Amino acid sequence: MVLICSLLFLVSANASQDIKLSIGQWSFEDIQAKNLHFDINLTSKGLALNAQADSVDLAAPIGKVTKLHLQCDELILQSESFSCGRGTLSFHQHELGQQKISFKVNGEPEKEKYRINIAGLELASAKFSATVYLNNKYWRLVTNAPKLKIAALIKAASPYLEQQQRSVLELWQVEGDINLSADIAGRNDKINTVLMKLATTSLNVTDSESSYVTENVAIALELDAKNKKQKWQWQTYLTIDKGQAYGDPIFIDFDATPITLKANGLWQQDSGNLVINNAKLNQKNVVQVTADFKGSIEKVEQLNITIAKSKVTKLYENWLQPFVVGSAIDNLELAGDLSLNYHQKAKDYHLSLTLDKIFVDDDLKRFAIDNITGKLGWTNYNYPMKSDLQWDKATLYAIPIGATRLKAKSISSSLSLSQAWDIPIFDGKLKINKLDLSRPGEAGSKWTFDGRLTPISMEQVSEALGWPLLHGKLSGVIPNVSYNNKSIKVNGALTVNLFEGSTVISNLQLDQPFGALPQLYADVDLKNMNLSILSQTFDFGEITGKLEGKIQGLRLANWRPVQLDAYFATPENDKSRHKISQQAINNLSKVGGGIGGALQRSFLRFFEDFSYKRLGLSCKLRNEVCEMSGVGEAENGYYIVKGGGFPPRINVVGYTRRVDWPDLIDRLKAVSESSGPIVIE
Amino acid sequence: MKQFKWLSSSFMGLMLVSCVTINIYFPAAAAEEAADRIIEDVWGPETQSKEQAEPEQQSLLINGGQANLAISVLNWVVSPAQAAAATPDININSPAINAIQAKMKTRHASLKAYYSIGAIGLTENGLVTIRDAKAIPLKSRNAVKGLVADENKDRNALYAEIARANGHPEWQSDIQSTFARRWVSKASSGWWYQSGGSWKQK
Repeated sequence: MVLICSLLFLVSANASQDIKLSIGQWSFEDIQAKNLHFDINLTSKGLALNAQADSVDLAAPIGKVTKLHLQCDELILQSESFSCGRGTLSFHQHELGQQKISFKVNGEPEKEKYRINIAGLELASAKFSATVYLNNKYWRLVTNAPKLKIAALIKAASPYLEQQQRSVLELWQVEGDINLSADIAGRNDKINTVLMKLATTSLNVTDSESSYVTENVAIALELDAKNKKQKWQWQTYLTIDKGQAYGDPIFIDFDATPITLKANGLWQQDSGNLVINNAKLNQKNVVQVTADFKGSIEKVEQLNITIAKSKVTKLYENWLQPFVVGSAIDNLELAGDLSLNYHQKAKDYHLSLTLDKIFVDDDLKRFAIDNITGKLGWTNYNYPMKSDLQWDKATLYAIPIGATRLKAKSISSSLSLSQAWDIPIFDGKLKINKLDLSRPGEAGSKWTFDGRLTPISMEQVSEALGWPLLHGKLSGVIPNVSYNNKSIKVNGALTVNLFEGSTVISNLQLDQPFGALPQLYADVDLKNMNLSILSQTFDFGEITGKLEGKIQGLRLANWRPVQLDAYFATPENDKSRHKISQQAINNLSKVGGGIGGALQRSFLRFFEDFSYKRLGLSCKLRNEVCEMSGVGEAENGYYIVKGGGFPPRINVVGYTRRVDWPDLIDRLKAVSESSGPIVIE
Repeated sequence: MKQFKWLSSSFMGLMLVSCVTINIYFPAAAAEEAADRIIEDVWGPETQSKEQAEPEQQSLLINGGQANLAISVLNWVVSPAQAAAATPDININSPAINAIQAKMKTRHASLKAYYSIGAIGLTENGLVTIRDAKAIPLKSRNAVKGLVADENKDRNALYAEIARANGHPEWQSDIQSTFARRWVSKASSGWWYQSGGSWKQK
């Protein structure tokens, strides 16, 4: 202890019980005072102390204090104790400004026991009151500050913060009051217990980018923490029940969906290890979450999250939809319930979703699923987790899908079928033998499957897709389908049995199936088709013979053909009977833009059908224009039907090479929808 | 003989140059016209009146004395139908393009107010983005984000489809940058657009 008095005057003026003491400069450890004056009077209630100093230098963070004035009107000094029943302290400090504090002190110096009450400390535009109890090495602070202005509090705290913390705070605008009450106790420089209540009635916070905003938010926070050997045992209770908040991309309206959070746990002060034993978050009308955690801010050792059975529509609106804006699932109507279990240990996790009578409807009418029930499991552990899901029905664009059950298992971030999966489509089935899904959402994510399509009535397919009514069966083997980078590719070829012939679809690729403009690419090879069945199907008028064709470079944009190179013709060396009816000739000429009924006006009307050698048409579609050609060049045109065989024979020649595609489609539709030949007399 | 060799090699060279020129040529003026037609339809009549497009240098082939020779050679080597396809034109009349255009037009009714208050702006690459989130009420933020995402999906699909429909998928980026310029040029007064990395107001 160092005590230096550079100048000392002691004046005892008279016997009127006044003592005056003036000290020019005084130092005690880190404290230095200038022009210190003491004035002690004897009063009826004890002593009256009046002390003044021009300036006192205190240790950081308070620093220099000027115009210090301490007055105690009821100072009682006894052998083992002293008290000041009514005192005031005023001073000026750079950050705290001019302060005038009233106080009471009781002390027993021998036992190092003191009680100090202060009131009127002005901080952050609020008046603090506090009681400090000191007992030897133990201390306790009980404080209460109503209407603490947060902005002023930050400003007042700013000089004591590090530059980095200050720069972060500068990015935020904060408005609002806090009501603070705290009861903090400790020993020497250690805090042992904290009991704190914080409440805001209208908190407005925004960052510079406006990515995190609160408007008129009411928060109440209670924290109770006890420190035992650097191990903090804590519990907290938080309520947010007024206002709105946006934290990119989540929006919460606390008026409609107030939040409560209750949690307790342990925090190891020295290692930074955190244990949350039992956290319960309740967002009214939306979700109830329970969680526990072991680890630190940087590292998760163990995490368990359980979402109790919740309405899926509320979960989607509040917590899922904001994250999937712009994707295929950002416009859903949902119903049903969902619960979730998530477990993580270090970097390994498993997730289990339980779906209960969930209905999914895409607002853009691309897909829908009715009544999905079951469990979906996903894990990156190398032991399997089972999935068992079923639904009543579904639709994918215009394709109806029936009830089905999926049994699968997940292991090491991938999913595969436990048994073959039958998906009813129209009146047939897509039998998926093998399905593999790996690392969804990651850069190298992909899924593949192979399966088989059991016969589907083309009547149903054509009706659903708005095509002319087709007869026959669609079936095929799907050798391998993969999805990668928003593109579905059918490796190998899809075969379809149509009109007694075989149709092979190869190089099938679907880009962005749920994007703004789905693109479908394919090459189609048609062989050995029975023209008789085909012409009946389209009600075109009978044609006998065989037909083969190719559609190369087919591209459908938004499910409509925009590009193709197609030709259909009688195969070379076809030995079958080649006959074409009057109706078919008429319709062919109408498709070609001619006027039907030309035959009826000539003597040829007496013949029902005609022999032909070859027939065929080709179309190169670009920019809504079909560049047409036939089976051979004719004078100023091309042969659509080239006569041959037994008489009567007939040639049909097309003269228009460039045909407007929508016109051509309209003509084809008109022909297939008309009941018979139009006879012009 | 020497003269014949020189003539034939020059002729072959010219043919080669002619063919190559046709293949790489992007019809900038036609693309601008096509873009303007779509923008005027999507944004409606209140967009700024069509500016006089600067006459651009179309191709080396149609300038100077060798043009006539080149064209006559072309007429000889390229059939009339192919020559017609090679004329600088951008076709925007396809059901797919019309469908996207109609969607964008409907969406514009919702987006328009946000352009006007500066909440969203036009980017340099022909898309839109949220420029000032503060101008959007908290409750509407995700809805506007959704509108912006859908608009960008459609814009990207539109640029790709125009390129594909015209038989040149490789033109997509040229079409996109043409649109980027035209959106800005046609934007209403008060709307915001990116230029040189910073925001400017019309």
